[in-house]
Amino acid sequence: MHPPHSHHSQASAFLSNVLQARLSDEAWQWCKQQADNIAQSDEQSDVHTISHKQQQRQLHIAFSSAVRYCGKNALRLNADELAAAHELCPHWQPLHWTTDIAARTLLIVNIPHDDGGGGDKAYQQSLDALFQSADLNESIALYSCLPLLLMAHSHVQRAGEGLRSNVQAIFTAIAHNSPFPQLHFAENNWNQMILKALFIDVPLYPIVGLDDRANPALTRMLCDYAHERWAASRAINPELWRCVGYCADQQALTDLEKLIQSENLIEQQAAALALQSSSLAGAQKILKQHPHRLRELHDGLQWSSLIPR
Amino acid sequence: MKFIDPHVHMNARTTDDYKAMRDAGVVAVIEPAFWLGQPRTHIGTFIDYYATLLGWERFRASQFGIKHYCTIGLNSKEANNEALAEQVMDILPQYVCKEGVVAIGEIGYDDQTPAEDKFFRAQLELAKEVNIPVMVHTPHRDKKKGTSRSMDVIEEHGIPPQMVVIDHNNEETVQECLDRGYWAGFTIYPKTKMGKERMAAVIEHYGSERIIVNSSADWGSSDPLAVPKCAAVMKERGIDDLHIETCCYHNAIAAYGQSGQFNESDWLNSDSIDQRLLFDGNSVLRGQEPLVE
Repeated sequence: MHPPHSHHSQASAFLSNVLQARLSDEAWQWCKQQADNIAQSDEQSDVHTISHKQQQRQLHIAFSSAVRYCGKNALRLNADELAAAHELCPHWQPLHWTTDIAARTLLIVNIPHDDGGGGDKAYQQSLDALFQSADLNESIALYSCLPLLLMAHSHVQRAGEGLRSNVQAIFTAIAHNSPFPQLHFAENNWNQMILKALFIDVPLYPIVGLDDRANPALTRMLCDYAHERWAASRAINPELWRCVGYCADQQALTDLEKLIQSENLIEQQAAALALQSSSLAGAQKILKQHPHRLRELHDGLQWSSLIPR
Repeated sequence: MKFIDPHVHMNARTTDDYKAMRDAGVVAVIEPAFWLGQPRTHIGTFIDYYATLLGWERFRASQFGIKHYCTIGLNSKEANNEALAEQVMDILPQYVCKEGVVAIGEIGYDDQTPAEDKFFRAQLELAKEVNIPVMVHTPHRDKKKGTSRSMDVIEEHGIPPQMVVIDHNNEETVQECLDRGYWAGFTIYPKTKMGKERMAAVIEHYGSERIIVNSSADWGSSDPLAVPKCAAVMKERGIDDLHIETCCYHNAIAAYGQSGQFNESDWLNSDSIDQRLLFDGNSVLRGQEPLVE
């Protein structure tokens, strides 16, 4: 077992390096000071130099003020930093993080907690209070940092609430470039997330685990949704079909057969990719009737080929 | 001409209003924390309300190309529930330093009770501590005395007048307000408070220095287009554009910009609206054509 603080300490070290390289001296000093204050706050409260209420006040003021000191500039991590991020937390890629998100996450991972001494409860309460009072950008920061936090199971409900938001940036903070949903969401939560992404027109490809977590219930939900869109003569994000192929049933095959005959090349290619991932004999049969698509598959057509860059 | 409505309760207004405001030239709004039309009974509703002002309402405005800011505070009416008011005072520090909070407000007197006085003063102290402006709601009943008293109390607490907007002025209060160095806000309502023609007359008499026009549009009979319409009336009467822009745009920036959270560059540089980012079913749009600029 790792010592209780080690994972958060590693996250803290990673974020410190990233921030120090990007903030002015003054801003970095402020950040570091706030993180240190927060890290030491439980020791201080043990010796009664600072009450719990004052601690919370300090945390909230630091958390809300972070944007004033650290700005909202894109981090633009370099290859080494991205590699370090992946090592810290596999499949976590903070591609769209800004300095305020990094600073706020630094504060969060410095909130004291322990594994058995009841410190968990205080830690959870601190997080609850921050989530409860968060403004838009604070919410984005809080949801963005979930993959880095210990006790992931305790954050699943929060993440689910965040996905109810219709603010695209909050949704993508949870769903994109993060291992959290794949690792921790039950099947229905996962399925609802995929469907919601399609509803709010958020791309699927940055969702980690799209291929691994395909399931029959999702296939049915997505095909039903496609039928709704077809009935209303509305466009369908071709990425929808990526989650259909693996567990395709006969109805799905019928839909894919229709799709591969679409006037739109992207849709034809999406159908081909989906059929390729199906183990049903009928899928291969359909593909054989479309030699151009088959050739593209042999030449290495992938889902990423369909994304406009 | 660009407009700011620095006092408007957008959570009581529909997206039709946002669209109309945008079309009329409103680029930014300030939504003061207020009551909901009847008294709250639990601290949780304050917490959730503040979070809405800072979250969903800010987002909703952005979908129509309007930058949304707010003030946070305990309003005068709800200050009368002392036990609840104490709980609100406890949580205010969590909110007042957040992004886009441009003042403590709207605070002041309603009935001028001792409880209202107590929490007005407590919030003035908080404003001093975090060094942001104050938006003062002046009472609608016994206004003249209540407004004078508000200014007396502000001065007792050592807050410089240029940090304070005294709102809901009328012909009876404006002279003293300007003489004592405050920003003077005026609320243009269809039938009560100030009217457009009377506002124009005030500008003709006093000029536009430190005068700020707003709509205070809310759930009642009010007009979220009051600021652009008032500007039009002023123009018809021959008031020059510089004065109009001063009281309908620049002064709000000067007053609330002192918070560091309200900058013209926020909306001058911002991305154009692209409602295609969210469409169909789960956004503020329900099947309309997306608006792309």
